[in-house]
Amino acid sequence: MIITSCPVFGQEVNPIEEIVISPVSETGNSIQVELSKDKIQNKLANDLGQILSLLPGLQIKNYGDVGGLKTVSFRSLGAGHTALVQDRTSVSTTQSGQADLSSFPVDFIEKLELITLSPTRTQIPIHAKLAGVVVNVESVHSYVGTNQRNLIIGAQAGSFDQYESYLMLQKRGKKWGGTFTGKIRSYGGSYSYTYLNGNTTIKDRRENNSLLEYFGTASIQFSPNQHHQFQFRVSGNEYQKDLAGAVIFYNSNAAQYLNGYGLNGSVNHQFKKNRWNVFSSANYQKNNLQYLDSAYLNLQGYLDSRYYSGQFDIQSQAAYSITEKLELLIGSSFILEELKGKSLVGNPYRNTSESLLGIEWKAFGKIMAQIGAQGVFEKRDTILKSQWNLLPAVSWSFDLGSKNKIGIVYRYTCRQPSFNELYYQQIGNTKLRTEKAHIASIRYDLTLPFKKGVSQTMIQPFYSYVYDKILAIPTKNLFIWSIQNIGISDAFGVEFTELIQKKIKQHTLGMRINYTFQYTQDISDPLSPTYRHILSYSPLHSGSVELDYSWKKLSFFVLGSYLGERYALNQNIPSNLLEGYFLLDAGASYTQKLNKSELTLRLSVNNLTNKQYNYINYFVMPGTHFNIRLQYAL
Amino acid sequence: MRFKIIPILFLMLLAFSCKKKKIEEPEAPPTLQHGMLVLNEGLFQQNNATLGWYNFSDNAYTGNFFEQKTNRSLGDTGNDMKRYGGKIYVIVNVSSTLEILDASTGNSISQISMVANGTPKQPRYITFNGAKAYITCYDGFVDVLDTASLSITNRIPVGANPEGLTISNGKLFVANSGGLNFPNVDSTVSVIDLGSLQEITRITVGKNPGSIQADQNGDVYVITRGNYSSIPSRMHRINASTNTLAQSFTFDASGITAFNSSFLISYHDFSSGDNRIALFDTNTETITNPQYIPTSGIQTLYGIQYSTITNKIYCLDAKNYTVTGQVHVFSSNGIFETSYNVGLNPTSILIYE
Repeated sequence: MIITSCPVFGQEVNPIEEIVISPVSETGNSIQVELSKDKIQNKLANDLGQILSLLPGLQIKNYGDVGGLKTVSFRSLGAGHTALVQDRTSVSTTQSGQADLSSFPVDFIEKLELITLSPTRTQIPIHAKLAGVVVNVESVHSYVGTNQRNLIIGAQAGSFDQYESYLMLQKRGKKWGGTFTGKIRSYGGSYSYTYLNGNTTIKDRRENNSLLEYFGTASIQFSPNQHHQFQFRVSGNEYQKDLAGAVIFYNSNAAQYLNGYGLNGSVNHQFKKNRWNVFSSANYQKNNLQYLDSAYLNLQGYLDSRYYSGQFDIQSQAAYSITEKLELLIGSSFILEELKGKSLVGNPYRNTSESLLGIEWKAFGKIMAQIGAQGVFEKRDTILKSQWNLLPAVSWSFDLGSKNKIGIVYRYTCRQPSFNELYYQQIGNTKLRTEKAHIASIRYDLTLPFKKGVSQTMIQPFYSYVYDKILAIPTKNLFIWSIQNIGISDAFGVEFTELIQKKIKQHTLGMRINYTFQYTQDISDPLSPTYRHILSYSPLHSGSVELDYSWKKLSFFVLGSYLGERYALNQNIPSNLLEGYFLLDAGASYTQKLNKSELTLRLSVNNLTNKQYNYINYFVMPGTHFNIRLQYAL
Repeated sequence: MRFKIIPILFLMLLAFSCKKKKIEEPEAPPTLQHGMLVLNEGLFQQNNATLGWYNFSDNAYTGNFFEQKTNRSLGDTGNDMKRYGGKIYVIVNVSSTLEILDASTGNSISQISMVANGTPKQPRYITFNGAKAYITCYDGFVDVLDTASLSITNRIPVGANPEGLTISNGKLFVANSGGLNFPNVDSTVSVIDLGSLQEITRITVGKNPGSIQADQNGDVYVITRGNYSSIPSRMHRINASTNTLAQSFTFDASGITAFNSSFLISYHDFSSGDNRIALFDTNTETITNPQYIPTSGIQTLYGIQYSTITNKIYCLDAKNYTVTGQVHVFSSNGIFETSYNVGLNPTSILIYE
């Protein structure tokens, strides 16, 4: 069915035969890399950002530990080009234009995919399909989910006063199904660290770094017959975070806080009959955010900035298989976004209308293509503005024998300026244009079965070109920066994934290697001292090696991850260079089956070598720390 | 198995990638002569303010001069540097410290933490009179430092977020910017009696006061920076005897530098990127040369200093704020002589014979 396939990282305890190369069902209509549930759960990861760093081509900018801002960048495109989809819904990024991955726990994730193209896949929202790349998260609330449990309850404790507990209740009948998930987590966040101040090593302790956060989601599924499925889903979260920020030499008096909550409600319907597959959805998201600086030196003696954002979107996509070899999709969506806040100039809103025509044609291999039409309507400086963008994407993939596959992908994409970039006090610039990007890649897959094992290799060279890049520069004085369209950058590199698994009786051995090389350079101005310099926070090398072993009820993993040298600023001079670092994590899990239920104990130790490191300069990360989790499932 | 080679190659790649590059810098001289100390502001939250030494003899620049002298970094956002007596005073704004160095060697004498009740005071600028130093702090005070004991002896309340300060007629004039209350900024200059160390009045001059300078006649000139859009950046003259606003000028201005008996009035237009340096006669209160120094080689004019030691004018160029800055040297007649590469956002220099 699929020609451009991918390594699918199977569950460690699965028999070898279940390591499939060609994805089944609708995921076959896309080009993606995915991570399975057990691979995710065994990590005892704090959030989605920690997990996504395991995927090739993705860079996670990490501004702190638990609760610290984490954003994702795909092939140096910037976070605004990555769409995050959770259970068929595009996560709202109305205010900042990027999703904070630290706000997404991974306890109930069933599957995680990185999708570069999916023109005829109905469950990926149109808005996401037009982005540079899609991170697709499916949880136990997904009505095609694989979860068979009725009850999951667990608790976790970890270093630096980290405590979590979570609960899932699920009941599925022939026509009706319902799921509830909830989680609470708290984090003290006071950990010791060392950093170099000149030639002096300073030992200090992280303060003002605590977190309290609640999550809850309820969903109801209804299938009146085999052709129709309805789902209603509501979710919410609330958080109170301290913002420790960057370590400032000689000044450890950070007193910033972030409080807020989010609400999300959606209803969707899927119709499948004969050659038709139709998916429709409506969704409303609301986010309230309060930023507090209790040491701000204005007349009030503190800064209290509050923002209220809302997003409503409605969409429908219909796919029709004309023949077994030819499938078409047509769809439209409409999105309304608004943001309110005293720090903003006006009350910005934006309406976006998007239509998509997708095709999958199994001829000369497989050809997938889509053309998206995007209309954006918003009021800027009291003038109603509209703009239209045509966003094409195409891929061609084919087999070279039974073990080799090759695919070529090209897409043109753009991102709208965020409301912060447009309207935030003096910083915002209402004259901004969209940031555009051309992305191209060639993917080679090799699958080699051997005795009681299989090896899967993916090599993917890529090139991207970004122009009208949206950057912040000083335009009023050094303290008042403004957002401008001034940048051009390009990036070339290669993503490499190697998966080897071998099963000997009840022993399963696995190894996974991810490596990304990328060279991302500033090509904005030949006269600039940073012309052809590597962009800030774009490491040339990054990757991970994971070894896992399972035997009966026990499984173990060792994960080594590396992030190479990078520059804190665009000028590639030694004083801006940040050291690369190598982190070593390890973990184990034990599962005891008790009739229909099972008890799982997981333990992980992160940063075994107590490496003192940071991804973003002076956002110090913790040394060796552990997590232990006990889970009961029925 | 043929695939064993892949992880081995990968691990080798990681090992080679981990090699650390060593930063080589010229050695800091034991005593300071025939050169220039450069305070580079750095960037907010990067801890990359630096104090560098430019040696005029061999044109070598020691960017980590302060680190070599103290084994530690200067901190975050170096804002002002002045020499007074045998000491150098360096204001580090975001780190909220005052660094005091020996003026002949650059060795550290003291580091004063500028924190009040657990809140960083965020010092901005410093000036001197007698045995006292006066430091504007963004928390709405002027701190008084005893230059002998190096202790803060008084805190004088002024307006919001004070910036520049100058002394004339036995009084201290402080520009209250109110910048952190934008758009409701301050518009006043505080006048402090140096005898009683009390604020005696506030003079309304215009929105967002910043740079301030006294001339040889005792008048005080202050720049009000407006709102960066509809209200332009302008210079005003204060009568220091009557503590009243005497005159407002209509030309663009963003900085004032004393130049013999005149002023150099600098202006950088952030919208167009244009730079202008005019010569202003403080006796006639007029601009006598609107383009005294050619600015075509300057990208972002970030400050001007005149040295009586060398009789030269030094223009500090911040470039695009994220790259190595430059100091452009002009003769006192405004003729370009040379340029020096220095650090990130040079904001102040001290010349040594």
